[in-house]
Amino acid sequence: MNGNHWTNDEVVDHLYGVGPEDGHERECAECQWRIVELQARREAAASGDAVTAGFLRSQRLAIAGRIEARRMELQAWWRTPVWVAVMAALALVLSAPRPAREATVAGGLNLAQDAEMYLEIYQSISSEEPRALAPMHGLFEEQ
Amino acid sequence: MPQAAADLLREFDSWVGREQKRVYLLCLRMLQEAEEADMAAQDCFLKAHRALTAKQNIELDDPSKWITRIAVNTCLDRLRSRSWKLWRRRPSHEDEAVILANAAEESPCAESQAFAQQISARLEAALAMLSERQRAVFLLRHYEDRKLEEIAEILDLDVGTVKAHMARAVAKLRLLLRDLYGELR
Ligand SMILES: [Zn+2]
Repeated sequence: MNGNHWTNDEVVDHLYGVGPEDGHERECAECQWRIVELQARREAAASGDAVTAGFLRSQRLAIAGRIEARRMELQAWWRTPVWVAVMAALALVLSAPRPAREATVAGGLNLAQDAEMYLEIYQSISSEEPRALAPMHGLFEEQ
Repeated sequence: MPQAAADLLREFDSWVGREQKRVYLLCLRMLQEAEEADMAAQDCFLKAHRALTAKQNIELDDPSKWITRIAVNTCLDRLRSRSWKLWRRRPSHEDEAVILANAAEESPCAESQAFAQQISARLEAALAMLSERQRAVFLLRHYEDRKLEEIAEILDLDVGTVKAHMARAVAKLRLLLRDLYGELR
């Protein structure tokens, strides 16, 4: 083959979009013809796959069946009263003021702690002696 | 040709009929297992139906390209989810050498239809040598004669990457392709 023409591998590469980018195929009638011939050969080889009409028909039936099954499934879900209960439960959970509840608990703790503190203050004020001395009395008390 | 989703949905059955064989063969060549390809092809049309039902007001630029994209992605997902199995089935370098040697073994008359079928079967077996993306790129060109730009769009890759995948695929299949295309004048 003439050195100016593409090699066979280069023509094949061109057929797959990765051939030389020298524009030779636009100028050379012979290489154009080789490309056309290869394309025809590729088409002949690629069309040899046998898929029977019966197989395609049963596949179409399977597709239609699965689409219908999904439609029924969705319909059943919307028809059943279960979804009402689920949605109501979900609404309850979502509407519950969680941060507010935490604040109430925390507030409760604070109240308890405050009451204890006030009691201590009250006791220390109402006592005649400092609280730190109180345990000492025990030592001198007669049994 | 742009088509409204609602129209496509209305003639869904006949559209499936028109695209089904091509989609199934693409899945078969990608997955190389008839039963799995059958399930994958069904999944493609189910996904399409779901998408069309959900968005009936959209326009599809090219429904054929769209279902091809769904098919390739469905197959890539399936290949990824069974990657251990694929790894087990992918031929070793030694096996590749055997495949290539068989490919170069004989050079029968290129004119015969039997030869075309034989070479086609060998080519499909040799696809196992390609990575998933190389295989997708090669199939879309070899069997569907798509432009590299189109393949890039379908696979969501840039054209340069598609070119690189294609060059590697063609290089790996070189001996088979020489057989397929025979001696040129
Ligand atoms: Zn030339």
